[in-house]
Amino acid sequence: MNDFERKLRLQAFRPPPPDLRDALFGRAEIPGNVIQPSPGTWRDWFWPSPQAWAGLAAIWIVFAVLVVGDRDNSPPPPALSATQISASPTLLSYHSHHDLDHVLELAN
Amino acid sequence: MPPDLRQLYDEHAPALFAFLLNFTRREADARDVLQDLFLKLIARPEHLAGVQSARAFLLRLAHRLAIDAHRRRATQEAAIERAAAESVALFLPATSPDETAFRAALTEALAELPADQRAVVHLKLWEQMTFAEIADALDIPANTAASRYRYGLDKLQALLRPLYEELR
Repeated sequence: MNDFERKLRLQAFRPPPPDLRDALFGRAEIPGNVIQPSPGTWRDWFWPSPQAWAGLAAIWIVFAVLVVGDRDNSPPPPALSATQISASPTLLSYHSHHDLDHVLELAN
Repeated sequence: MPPDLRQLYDEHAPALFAFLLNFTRREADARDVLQDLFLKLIARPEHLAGVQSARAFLLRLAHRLAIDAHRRRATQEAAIERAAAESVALFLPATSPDETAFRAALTEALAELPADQRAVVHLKLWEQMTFAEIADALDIPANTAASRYRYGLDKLQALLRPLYEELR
């Protein structure tokens, strides 16, 4: 190697752009750069089988359509008369409870 | 055990970038090829298994990727020579005006070399590789590497001699 070659060898080249290293290794999952697992979200739980969930949703929609259609076609239920309402066991029970509470309050 | 690619980058990226910058004469190309090279290694680190000289392996890979990149863009020699005519900052800024002038002249002189000579001159001068190693890296016979170096160096000397003599 002569003086001219030695002179050339001393010329220092520019280094690579500093951002290139970050672009390569900043977020890549490579040996020595272990990415911590993030806590699961609701999407992580639901997303693994989107087709199954879509199928289930479709079945529910079909059921909903059938139920609404059936309700529209069926005749309206007969209205209860005043005597039927007052004679219903539930209401009688309610009245009995109400009366009993009232009696207990008076007793205290 | 998988190689530490960050350490590999820190050790070899400056030399690879210098080679690519000198070979392609375009900063964008040098950057793209260097990035492509390391992305390949990140995806397939097993490529490095059994490699004896990482520097020689990486330079060989960088050269091939640079050739492929230019083939994709246009015919190889025409594209590289066109790029060689473009102005590119190869070297770090010098501290003295004389060195600044010499580096500018060297940048222009290197652009005058054909790409194949420039690659050999770079590997010989700045990587201090033997002709056998250069031949292996560039897939050429060792005699061809030696002759390309001699032609390239003679041309650089012819172009730079006046300034070189003046600065001595």
